[in-house]
Amino acid sequence: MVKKHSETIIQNLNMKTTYDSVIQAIKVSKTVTAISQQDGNDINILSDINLSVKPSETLAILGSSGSGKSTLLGLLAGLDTVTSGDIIIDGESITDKDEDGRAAIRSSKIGFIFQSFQLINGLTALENVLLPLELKYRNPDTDLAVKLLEKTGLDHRLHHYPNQLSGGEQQRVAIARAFVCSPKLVFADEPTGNLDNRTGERIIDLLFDINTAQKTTLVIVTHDESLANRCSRKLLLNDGKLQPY
Amino acid sequence: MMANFNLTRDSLLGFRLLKRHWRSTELSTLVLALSIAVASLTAISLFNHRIDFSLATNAAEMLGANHILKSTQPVDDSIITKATTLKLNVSKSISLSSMIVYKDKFKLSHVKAVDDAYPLLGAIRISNSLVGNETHSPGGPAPGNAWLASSLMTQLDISIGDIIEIGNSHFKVSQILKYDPGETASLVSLAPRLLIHSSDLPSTGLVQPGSRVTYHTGFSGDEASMVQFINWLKPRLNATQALTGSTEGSAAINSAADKARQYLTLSTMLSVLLSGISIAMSATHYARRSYDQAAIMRSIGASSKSVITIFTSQIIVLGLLSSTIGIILAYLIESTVTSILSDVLTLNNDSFIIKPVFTGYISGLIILTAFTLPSLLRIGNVPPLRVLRNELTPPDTGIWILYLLAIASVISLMWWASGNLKSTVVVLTGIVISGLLLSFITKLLIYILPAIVSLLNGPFRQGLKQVNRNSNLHTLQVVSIGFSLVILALIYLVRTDLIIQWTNQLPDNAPNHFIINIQPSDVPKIKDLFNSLNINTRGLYPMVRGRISQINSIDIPADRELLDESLKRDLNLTWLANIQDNNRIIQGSWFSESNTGQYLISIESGLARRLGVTINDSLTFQILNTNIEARIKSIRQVKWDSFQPNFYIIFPDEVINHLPATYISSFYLQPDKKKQLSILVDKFPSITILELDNIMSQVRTIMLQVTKAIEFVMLLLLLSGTTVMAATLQASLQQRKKDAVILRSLGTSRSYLRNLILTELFTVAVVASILAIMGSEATAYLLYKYIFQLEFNLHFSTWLYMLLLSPAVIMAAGWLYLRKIPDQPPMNALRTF
Repeated sequence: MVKKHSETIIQNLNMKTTYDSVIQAIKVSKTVTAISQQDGNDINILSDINLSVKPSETLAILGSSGSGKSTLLGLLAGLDTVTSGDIIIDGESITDKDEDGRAAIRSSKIGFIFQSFQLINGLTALENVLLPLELKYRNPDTDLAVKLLEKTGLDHRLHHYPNQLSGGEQQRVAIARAFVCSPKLVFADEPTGNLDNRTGERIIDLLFDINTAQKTTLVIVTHDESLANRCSRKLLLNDGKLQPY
Repeated sequence: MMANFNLTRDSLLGFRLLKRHWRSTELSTLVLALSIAVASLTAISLFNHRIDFSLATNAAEMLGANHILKSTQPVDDSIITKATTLKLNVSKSISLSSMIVYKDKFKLSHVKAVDDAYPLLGAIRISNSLVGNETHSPGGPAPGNAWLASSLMTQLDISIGDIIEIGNSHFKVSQILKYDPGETASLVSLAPRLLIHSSDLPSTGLVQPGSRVTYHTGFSGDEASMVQFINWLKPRLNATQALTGSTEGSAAINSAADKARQYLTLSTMLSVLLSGISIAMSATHYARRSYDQAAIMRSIGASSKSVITIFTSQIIVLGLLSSTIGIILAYLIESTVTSILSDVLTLNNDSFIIKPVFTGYISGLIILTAFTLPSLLRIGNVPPLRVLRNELTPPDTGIWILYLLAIASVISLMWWASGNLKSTVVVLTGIVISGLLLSFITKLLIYILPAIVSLLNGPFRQGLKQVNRNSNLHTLQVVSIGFSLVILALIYLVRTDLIIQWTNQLPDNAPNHFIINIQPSDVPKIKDLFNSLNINTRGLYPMVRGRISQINSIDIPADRELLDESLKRDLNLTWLANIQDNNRIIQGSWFSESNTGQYLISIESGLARRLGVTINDSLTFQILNTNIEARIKSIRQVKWDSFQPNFYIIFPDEVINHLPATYISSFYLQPDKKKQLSILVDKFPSITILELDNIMSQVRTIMLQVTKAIEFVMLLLLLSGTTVMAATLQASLQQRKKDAVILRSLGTSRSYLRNLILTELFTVAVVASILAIMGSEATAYLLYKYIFQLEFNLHFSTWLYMLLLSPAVIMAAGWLYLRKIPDQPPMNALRTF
């Protein structure tokens, strides 16, 4: 399995590089090795995925459980590495970068919202939101974090710890954390998956409000159609391939 | 793009995160484990330092100086000048044997003429009546006065105020000499003694050319100057001079003090080991619990270096903070204990001793760094994808090398803290054997567990199944709990056996008198007299004086000055049919009946080693004008601290019986029956009685001190060991808590849950206890054989304690931690994970 450099692939494919894309996936495949011999050889989770997302676009990737949605999100966000193909974020290929190189890109350009919130338990709501800023700057702007939390309606919960917050409140903290560094791209993995319908709707409203205000590109992985319908484009992941929905 | 690493920013972030996480359980466990580890290590080190000081002070006071230079010629002025230049204190005394005369009675005694500076350390104890209270005198008698040992007073029937003759002079007996520093240093010098002032010596006319006089020059001062002086002096000593340090006292005292030091050394090593286990468990647990945080940080863009820096800065702050807490705790504990023990311990008044603090700090930090480094590096490699897939853990390639380094650093620390390679090797061998036993048998038990499971029902079946399912976790638990138990058991076993040995060695009725120069014709009469006075002797032994003249038929060089001390003087030889109780054959065999009359000997092991002889080698003895050559049949280990007649060389019966001999015996006499000594002396004027009360009281004092000391050290280690177990349990109970909550949410009843958890804890505790029994006995065997020279017996009562106590404690602790789960709504409990 040899990773080819993006330029070579593009040349071979005779494709025109769309540098107005915030994120671009070119012939991305992901294969994992089977745990036991009985399971056969390698398993292809994703094969030849091509995708291009424009600035400020909102994209929903739908698919059934186990279809590889989260794997694709992990690859697009640079949390995981491709088996073949290339991923370009804001004009910069992340495929040949090492983990720290990808971390630098995540730090400067990407925000995350997870199904299970992924807040740090020992930190208060405000401290959780401040964390990405603290990882970037020596003296982070606390006001910015406070304002974002106020925007999410958590101004009375700034100093509460995650286990003192409801699921919806925890997800709001996660949204504030995702947007606090004004990223170009926000990835959301089933952001309403752990919430009831009503709370989920409120979270979606909040997510889209902030997204619109910050003109961020939003990529959401979900199997919730009502959430997908709020996006400007929808794609379906089926049998490891992306197709229009 | 460069990775976004900034040392200052990331360190500051680490500190801020630490501050925010302060209330978390993992942090408090780590701080607690480290603080207690440092506290016990420092307190033990501090206490050992004080005990060492106490023993050294005692020894110096017993010698009357830090060092004594003994010589047969007056000491050269250059030595005195050097000592004075180094601001050392110097005292001079001269001792010789002389007859003292009172009325028409004569008695050979040991006369010691002392100057005004004598004694440099300690005090002379005197009394103005035989049974009166003792007073401490900082100096010797004034000119014209003599202070006499009570045995001389009773034997010559002298009273205070009487005038005695020594040589050409007359002296007024002004005090009874109860204790003279230096008299306990060697049994050889235990002749009845008297003190006079050195200015009176010339007028006695006792010192003449050719008289056998010993010059004692005492030196004392601060440690650094003493070391400098001794290093200067040693190469300049000639053959007539011998230097004795205060650490080279009598066999009995040295033996007690040495064993105490060995115990304290052992305790320091075990304390390092316990700290290592405790910190390793807590740090690994802390690191594992930090994987999620690290993954979140990495997902939002922290580089590997940043993550490592953040957690390292936290660990450094934790290390410094916990070590400081530990050291403060150590001082509090130690000062409380020393104030409680101040009546039995001679303690220096230094409120702050730097070395133990340094030891505590450095050890804490080294152990913490060594055991957290592998975990920290793993944290740096936590895959960011863990935020999506929680089962992902960082790779552990190459980490085992770091763990080996961590273990190596603990071993080095043990060696450094103990300063004793042999003890370190013995303890480590025992611990490795225990470790192998623990891991192998645990794996084996877990392997056969399914067979046992199939015989059970309900929660018990489920509990054992849990043990089997999480076999790696349980192996780790059994091994770490087992290790802690091995260490606790060891420290208890050695302490108990040492105290038993000391008590046996010096029972209340241990002989406090030696009687020598008994003529063979007086033996039956003395036996009768002893019977009539109701005095129990430890046997009467014949004693023939003889000098070794040849080894394996080769002559000893005429110039004996550079040879072993035993070749320079006559040795006490005896003959015996049966071996004495306090002797043990370590090579060869004791004489059989057929050996009677054969030219064979049994030699003391130390002498055999110094002479370089072994079984079947021969020694020739010059006894008066006779030469007797005999072959070594056995080598004996002798307890010189037993206060019984002991011999370097023993012949079988009918070999030297025909040679002129005197007899020696030892017996116990109650202090209020001392008057009976005068009856003995009156009836047998030729005998000499040596009183051992002073030396025995010194030995008893030291034993009391060290017993108290080791009791305290044991308590500290027990505390330390308990925290290790608490840390181990906490690490595993967190997982059990989660399992219990899930089972509860699935509708499991309260009693079922309780039985399940208790079955699991019981199994772990019992297995750990059984293995700890095996491990501690194996290690104790090695320690007793190679370090403590104690007799090894299996400790059945301790087995029982361990089997009953440890499961009870572990089950109680586990239940306390988990007891609230059945009462909580499962949803609430689940949210805490």
